[in-house]
Amino acid sequence: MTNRGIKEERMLSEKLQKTPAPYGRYVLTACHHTLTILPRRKMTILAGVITAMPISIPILLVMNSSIWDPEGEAVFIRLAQFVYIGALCPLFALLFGTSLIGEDVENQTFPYLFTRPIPRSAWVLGRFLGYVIGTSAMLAGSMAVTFLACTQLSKFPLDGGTLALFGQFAGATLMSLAGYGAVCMFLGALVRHPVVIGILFMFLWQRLAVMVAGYVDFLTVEKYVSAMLPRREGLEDAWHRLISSLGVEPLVVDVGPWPAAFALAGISAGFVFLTAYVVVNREYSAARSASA
Amino acid sequence: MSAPNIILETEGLSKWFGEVVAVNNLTLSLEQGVTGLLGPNGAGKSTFIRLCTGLYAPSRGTIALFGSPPRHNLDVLRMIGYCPESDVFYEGMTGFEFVQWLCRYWGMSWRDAKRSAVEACERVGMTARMKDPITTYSKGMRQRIKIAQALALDPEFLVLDEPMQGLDPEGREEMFSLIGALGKEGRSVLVSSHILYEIERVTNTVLLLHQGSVLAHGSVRHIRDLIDEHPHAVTIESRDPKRVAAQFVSDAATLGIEYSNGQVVIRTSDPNAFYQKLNDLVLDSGLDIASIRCADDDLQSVFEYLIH
Amino acid sequence: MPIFHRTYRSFDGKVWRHFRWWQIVRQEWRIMLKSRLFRQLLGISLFLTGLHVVLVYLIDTVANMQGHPLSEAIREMEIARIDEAFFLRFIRLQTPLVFIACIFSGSRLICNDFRYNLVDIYFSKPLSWWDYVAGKTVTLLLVGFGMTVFPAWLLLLLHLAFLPSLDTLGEVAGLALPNLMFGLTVSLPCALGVLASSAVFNGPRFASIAVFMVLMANAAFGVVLPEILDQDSLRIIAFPVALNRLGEWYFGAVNLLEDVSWKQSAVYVTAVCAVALAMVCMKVRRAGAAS
Repeated sequence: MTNRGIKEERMLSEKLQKTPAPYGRYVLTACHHTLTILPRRKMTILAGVITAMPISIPILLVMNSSIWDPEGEAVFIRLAQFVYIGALCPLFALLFGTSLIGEDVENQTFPYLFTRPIPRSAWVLGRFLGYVIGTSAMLAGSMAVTFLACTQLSKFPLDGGTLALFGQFAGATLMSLAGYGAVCMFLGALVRHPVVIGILFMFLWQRLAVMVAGYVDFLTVEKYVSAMLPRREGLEDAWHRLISSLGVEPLVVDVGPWPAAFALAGISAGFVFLTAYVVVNREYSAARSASA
Repeated sequence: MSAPNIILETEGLSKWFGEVVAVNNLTLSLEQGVTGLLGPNGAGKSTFIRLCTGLYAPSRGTIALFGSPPRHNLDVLRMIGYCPESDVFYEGMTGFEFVQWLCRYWGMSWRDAKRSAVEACERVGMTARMKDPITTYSKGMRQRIKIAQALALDPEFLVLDEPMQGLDPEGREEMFSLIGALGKEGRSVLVSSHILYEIERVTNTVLLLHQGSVLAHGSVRHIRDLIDEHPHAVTIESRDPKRVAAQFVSDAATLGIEYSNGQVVIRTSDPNAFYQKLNDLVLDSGLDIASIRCADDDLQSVFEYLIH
Repeated sequence: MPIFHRTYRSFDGKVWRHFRWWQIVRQEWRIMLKSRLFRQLLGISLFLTGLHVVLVYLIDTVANMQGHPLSEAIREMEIARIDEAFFLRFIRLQTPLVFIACIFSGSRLICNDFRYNLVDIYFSKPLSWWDYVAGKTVTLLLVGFGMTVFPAWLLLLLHLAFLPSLDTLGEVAGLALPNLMFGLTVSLPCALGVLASSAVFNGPRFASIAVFMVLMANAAFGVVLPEILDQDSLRIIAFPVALNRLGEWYFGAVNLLEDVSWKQSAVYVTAVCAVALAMVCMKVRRAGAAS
């Protein structure tokens, strides 16, 4: 290193000490960093392949329209509802959300970050933003191609009405990713086995809670995501059918799409705040990663 | 109020994890310059370093770096460069990208971070390989990249946790000269190791930790003097160990003699006089000596002396 | 300075000629049993088995007691029979637990060995790559069997003990094989799938999520495609449906999935196992050759 180089470094260091960067720059840096490391993982390739698979279904149907001729709208709604929102959003949250903080703790890279002059809350916020941008780009991109392919099927023209339908599903996807992602990020920061706990939350607790009549399902993310869907296909669950067959009207408390969207925004903000609280106050040590 | 050249002060600093006391009631102050942090494995060196860098909060007592507690203190963190012990990096990055990203977490612009990363890589001699993936680096190269990210922006206080670990002799020499140069530039460096020889090469000031407590703090010479006041064990291999022993048995400084397999272990309270007499005996009376070994010249023995 | 040729002395201790993989199984089980979560999963499985033991007792003993207040009620219940459907339901109930336990304990089995350079240590011992693969597979297979086949056989033995007769013996003998086959059908793809994921990804977290992700996406397609194309036979796309169909075929009971072909299901399950095994073998063989 030249003397000039050292001098410049010191000048820059002094400048940063006198006038520290604004909070927003730290958030953007963490966001940019997340978006940089996201595509370098093998998992992202697998996620990309799985995300691309729903596209093949309408394309296959268009190519074989003489054999199968389903309505484009029904195909799109089913794919958006069951595959994108029902399966891929929780899975992406589980995959990327638990890694946002948990990976740095497990791989022990957190000392590099936590000894930098960056507010930890900015780091958490930046990571979350990076996750939302990265995953929604993947899912919304795939959903858009699926939508366009579905418009080539019968009774689903590309017009304002169908575009609005797509927008509503895309919005529900974004909110779903944010809601599930915030919960998973919190689990990654807090517990030793976030994947197992996440699976239990998403695929056991949520299934059980929606079966119980009353207000229990308000303690799930799925309730609000379902409420945001503009139209649903075949979602009447077995429990409700059973209760109805007994002549008893089950107590189902419905939520409108806008309150559901606000609730999801609140869940996301709340869990990001809780994650930041945990990251700020917790002392991560190598012991956790070793045992993990 | 701290003295102007004091960078780190602790008062009754303690840290425990459950029932394990990692750092126990440390009260000390470190002055500007290079300080060696010595101690056997499990002495509390890494915990002390993590307290210094704000990664841990004290369980009891206080720690002040540049007059302020380091935890969550961005002003203090701006003056620290930290090289952790663990050999971990972000997946799939080149050395340059790694340093550049960590520079950006200082709040630098992309361009400034790039320039700082280039400078830091140059400083540790990694310019030629900095654009290669870290996975292709040798252990020594990875160590250098870790130090480069700590050196970027030329911090006031550099904390190096076991920086010599895994380096080859050439790499060690480079590291010694780098730390020495930083000290000469007026930077403060805290460098941890469990090998006395390594620390002696870079500084005269050491802080000895044992079981979380300070055992000694001062110059290496001072600590050696302390050691010299304690019994020294010298192992002499000879064809005639009895004759060797006979020469020393009547000395007042000899505290004990042991035989085993053609060698004799002599414990003396005056090592200087002992070595002088041994030299004279070899030269004058032709004592047949195959080898002389001072079994106590390692850090563990130093600790044992100081503890007992 | 003299220069010495350095050679390593070959292993001259007593080498097991067969079942060398058993050492790996023992070692892995020792590690798995240290995990609280794994013990809890085993505990849940034992609890479910315990409930079925009570059911067997009630159906075999209490239902036949003259004058017992519960006997009439139990006899009238449709599902209160110790038959094929009883064991099919029992193994189906245990299947999610087998899956979670395999993911939890198996996702680290290979990737951690690579991550911490333990593969070299394994292959420096008198173990071949095949012993390594067999050891890891049997480890997870035993997790599956411990939750399905062994408890099912225990229930069969209790059934025989509560109703000792030649008829019961014939019934038990006839049910032992379907239980084994269904347990194997559930456990083997789980074990090999998790091991394949562990071989491909470099961390247990990603390995476990990858298996889960593929399975959930597969199940979602298995729900959507039959609806879109209005063909129930396409439900076979969902791997759990294929497993369940085979279970129904083994026991010859509860044909809820009669639209789904058992032959296609068998081919599907076999193909998944073969691909997963090939992935594991390729990765381990390469590491074995390098070491």
